[in-house]
Amino acid sequence: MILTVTAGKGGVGKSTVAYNLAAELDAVVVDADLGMADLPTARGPDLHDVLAGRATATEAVREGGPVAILPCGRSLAGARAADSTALVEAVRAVQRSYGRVVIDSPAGMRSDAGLPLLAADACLLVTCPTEAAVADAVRARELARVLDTPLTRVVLNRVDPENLDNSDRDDRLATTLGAPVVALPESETLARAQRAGQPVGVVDPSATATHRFQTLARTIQTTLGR
Amino acid sequence: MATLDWQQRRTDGVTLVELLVTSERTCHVRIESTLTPVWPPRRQGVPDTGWTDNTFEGTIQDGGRLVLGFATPAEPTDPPAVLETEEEPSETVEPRDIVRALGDAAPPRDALPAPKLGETETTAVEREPTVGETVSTTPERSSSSTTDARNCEQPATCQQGTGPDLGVRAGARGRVPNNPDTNHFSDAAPAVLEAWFDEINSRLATAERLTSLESAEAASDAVERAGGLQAVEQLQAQLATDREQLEKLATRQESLTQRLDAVDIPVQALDRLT
Repeated sequence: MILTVTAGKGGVGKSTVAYNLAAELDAVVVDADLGMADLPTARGPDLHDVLAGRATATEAVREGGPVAILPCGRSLAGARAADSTALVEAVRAVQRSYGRVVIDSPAGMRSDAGLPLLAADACLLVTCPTEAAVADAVRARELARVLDTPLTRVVLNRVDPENLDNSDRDDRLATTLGAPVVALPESETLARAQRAGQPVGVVDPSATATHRFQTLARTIQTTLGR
Repeated sequence: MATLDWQQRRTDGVTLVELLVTSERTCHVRIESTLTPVWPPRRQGVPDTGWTDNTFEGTIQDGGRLVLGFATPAEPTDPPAVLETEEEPSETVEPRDIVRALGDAAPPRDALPAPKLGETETTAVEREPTVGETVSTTPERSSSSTTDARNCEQPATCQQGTGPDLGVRAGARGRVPNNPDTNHFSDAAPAVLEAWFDEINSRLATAERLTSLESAEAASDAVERAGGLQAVEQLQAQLATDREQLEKLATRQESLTQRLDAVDIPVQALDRLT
């Protein structure tokens, strides 16, 4: 299974969702934001190297942490030397070896956002309860539709915890974007866990965010049948 | 049946080929160039739609025409391409289609720091041995030039990523060593500093040529190449200024380095407090 987490707009928590979902799905998370690495990394081959033909995709997967990561490179020169069209095959190679892949896609509407959608079996859209975020989410949704990448769920992130379960809001958003909505609360625990490079389920197994990620993962497995 | 016509033009060592394909009925065509290599038209850095290596595939509508062109360094040949018809058009979206349609997201070339000139013209010039001096940095230079360039472009892994150790060099004979790794800044350093160092390198190269002279004839040649005696005097004055400026830079660098060494943000404490 290859699942792309996309957003349209930056700053909505896409990388946090991708990372935690990969943790719950026991998947490799691929940081495909070639211009700005979002996920933790260390020395060794990275996605820039894979896309420039200097390393194979499986060589670049780091298994030492709580979530297996194929990190992105961190240099402009590396981003420039990378052949972005090679991403699709690279991700498929990881999927052949590891079974499940979650791609943390960059924001925006350029090819670096389009290629992870092309590579994926399905996608998940992350947005926030702001006009700007939803507007960009609509555009990202259209891109997924054009590329024939089914949308499994919408994650509405950074919701006021006092207003977490609001079916009117969720239904309206689901109609706009065309998939059921899962709300995630604004959570200091989640933010702290992400900064520390840990899944929230490890830091606080009883957090609301943890439960929601677990449910989301089960739903996706059921929907995609793998 | 589709027919192929062509025109070829040779200019400046490049052959420009124009192809015209006509067909009475809609068909899918495949055109393969007989000239190699093919330089196809590009969009967003990738070959235009339909082009793969030496081959173009496209569809012609009823009675329509397909016009295409490419360039090649090869000499014009008749025919420059051969035509095949009747393949099922592919509906699959390819990664290149995405790049063409949505745009290349790679950072522009201008965003990168200036290339290591120490490896090109300056290296070639500094290889000339000066009298009484061994070019002891040559082995270092050749090993660093075979080092994967990636290692110096990632700040985390590049030990010389912070730039040359000016304190040491300015205190020595004011010469910039040949090691291109120490001449290369991390991505973050301003390109203007890199450019300034390149200028100094260039002046030093001229100056070094003027210090290794063994005969009156060689001296005249060298002075002429430098632009005359007046130019040589100006060069001497400019090098003195360079020395002064580098020494000032070294002082500032030392003070900043000391402050960098002393600063240690208590991230964990701040995390607990906020």
